[in-house]
Amino acid sequence: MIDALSKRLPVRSGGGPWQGSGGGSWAVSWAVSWGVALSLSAVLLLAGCTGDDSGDAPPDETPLPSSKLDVDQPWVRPAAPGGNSALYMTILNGTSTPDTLLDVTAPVIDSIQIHQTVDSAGTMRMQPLGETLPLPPKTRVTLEPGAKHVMLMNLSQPLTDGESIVLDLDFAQKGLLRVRAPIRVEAPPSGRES
Amino acid sequence: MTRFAAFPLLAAFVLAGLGAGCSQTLDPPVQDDLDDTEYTLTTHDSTAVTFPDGYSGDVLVVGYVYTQCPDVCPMITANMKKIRAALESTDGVRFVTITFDPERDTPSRLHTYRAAYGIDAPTWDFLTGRPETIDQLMKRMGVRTSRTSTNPNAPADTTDTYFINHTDQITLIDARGRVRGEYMGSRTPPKYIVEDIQKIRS
Repeated sequence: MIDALSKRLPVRSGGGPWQGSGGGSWAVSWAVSWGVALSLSAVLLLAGCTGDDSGDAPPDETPLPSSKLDVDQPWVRPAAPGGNSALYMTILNGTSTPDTLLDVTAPVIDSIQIHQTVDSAGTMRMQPLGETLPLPPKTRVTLEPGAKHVMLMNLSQPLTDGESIVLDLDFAQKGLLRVRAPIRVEAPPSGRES
Repeated sequence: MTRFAAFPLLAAFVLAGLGAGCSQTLDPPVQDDLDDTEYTLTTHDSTAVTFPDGYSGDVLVVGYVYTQCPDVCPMITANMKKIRAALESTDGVRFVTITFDPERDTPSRLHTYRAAYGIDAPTWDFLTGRPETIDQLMKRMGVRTSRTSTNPNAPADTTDTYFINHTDQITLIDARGRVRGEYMGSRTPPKYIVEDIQKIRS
């Protein structure tokens, strides 16, 4: 993703504030550059560890509930009638039993699909992930923009920014869980969009 | 005599060089000049408009979406909203969202979609058009699209309901109709595009 992003960003001339302009500042630049590189490496390593299927919550994430399945920060995109929206959330399976998200229903939703957005050489496409979403024990599964999401299809009414929608999430083990999802153009503040 | 005669020639070369240098040193540089093109499109209010001529004199921030798109296109629109919000002034800057799904994205549907996204600024148009016009426009802007069925098990050439695989792009066009920037639409931090808008306006 970082490669793809950097390829599309406009090429910039000139240096950033960390770049020295004279020979006297070379050592400082070298040290700062290495510092930046090491910091970036650390950030990338950390990023690689924060994908889903991790039971240990980083400090800024909701800890797994003990012996319980719960849903954190559900939200959906606006959409026109006849169109599609996406549901994002983090599903926290704190139990010792595998569970499965079977369905998401609401009166305005015709059907759902579970997708992963994929960047294929600059072309964005949605890859179906199957009809249900597995939720391993002691695991958080994150659905987020540009990645996994539940597609809410063929809506009978518009979903308007600033409003909310009540959704019934049907889990194989837990059963029905009703949540209210705000309709938002942008991810909530703790989301990872942009 | 020969020496004096050479001066005007030398001066011409120098001036030509300076001129060429000026056009090459634009920041961000010109990537394409749309002066030779004119696409007749329709706004979300069913008003005819030519692109890009109809917006001549303003800097244009252009996004490409289809309204059935649940994930990436909303990210592009969200990014454009952030760009707009980050500008100290929107004077002289227009926003345009063009659909690459004109068969389904009628002006009426675009109108509803725009309202659902809370966009009411008169300086932000959503545009559709005849399929062949949209096809030519997308090719010129470097936006690739291909249809795929909503049914994962359907044959690839199905004409049933469909999703569209597409390039993820925002384009920056200056007041003279020249493309000055192409960015990954959903992911480029708004500050980069805002910086380029400020450079073009200055």
